[in-house]
Amino acid sequence: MELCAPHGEASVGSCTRCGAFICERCRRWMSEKPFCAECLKRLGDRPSREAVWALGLATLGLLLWVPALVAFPLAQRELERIAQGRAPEAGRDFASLARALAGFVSVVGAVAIAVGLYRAFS
Amino acid sequence: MPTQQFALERNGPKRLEVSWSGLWKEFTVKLDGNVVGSWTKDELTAGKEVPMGDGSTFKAHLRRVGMGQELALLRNGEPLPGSAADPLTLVKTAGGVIYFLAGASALGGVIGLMGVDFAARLFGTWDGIVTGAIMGVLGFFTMQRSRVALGIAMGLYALSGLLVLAESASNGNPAIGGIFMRVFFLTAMWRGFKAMGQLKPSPAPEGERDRA
Repeated sequence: MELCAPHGEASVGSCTRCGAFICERCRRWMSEKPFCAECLKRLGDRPSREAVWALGLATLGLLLWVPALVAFPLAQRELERIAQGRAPEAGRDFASLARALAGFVSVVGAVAIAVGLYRAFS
Repeated sequence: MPTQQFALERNGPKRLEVSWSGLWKEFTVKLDGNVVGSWTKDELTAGKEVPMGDGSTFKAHLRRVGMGQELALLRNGEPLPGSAADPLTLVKTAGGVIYFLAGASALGGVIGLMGVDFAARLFGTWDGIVTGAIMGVLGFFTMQRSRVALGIAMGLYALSGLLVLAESASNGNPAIGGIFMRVFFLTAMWRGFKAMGQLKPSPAPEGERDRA
């Protein structure tokens, strides 16, 4: 029977990141995947800098448009990193909101610019 | 038949499934595919608790909140992560509402700039875009759990509602529909404001506690 190292109790699985055996007591969850306490501590329980930047740029895009174009791929990449267990789960809401807002602002801004150009040259 | 799935632990696998038909009829809760209990609409309105089989209890309660209803799902008296009564969900919802208002204001401003008279009257042009950006900044800090930002957003939104009401009433045509919408959004923000006080810092990982 496999035992977890910190508690010496029967393992209920292994950590998604480091592969160590984990028991009920030291099992933590992220993106519905099991992690050991140490790995989750390394990843942190706060949104990553990328997730916060993505939402910040998408917000700035409400006024200046261009930052939203940067925010969209940044948020998309962060969501992929979270799904892979390489970035903290706490950033998911930030990245999801950033992607939605950046997409919305990008499309509205593009349409507005297209209409403005059409009017200017017709 | 509407179905929702929830995790018992935050970010954990979604093992619990609630489903119902029509207007809260045949409300059933399953854990890992096994039925834990079922509720009639009266039981759901009164709030009924059932044992889960793992020593914990589960309560489903359909309760009135502001102008609407909320389905509270509680395990051992604590809201399930991601359910309507979960403080983190309430804070996220408040942030989402502020961003929605920011987006609507900015969109209205852009349409107003394009020369659409109706949007220009309702949202303005550049002033609509700037209002949207200000609300966006407040939404950003609300997402970072700032009660001050959420309080300012609520104050600004309530104040603008009062100004719109006063202006429309002076024209002899009070904007009643707009008041309902504002009360709905303000309720969501107020619930997020209260929930921020209930949010606890994440517990230290057990390994860390063991070493302490």
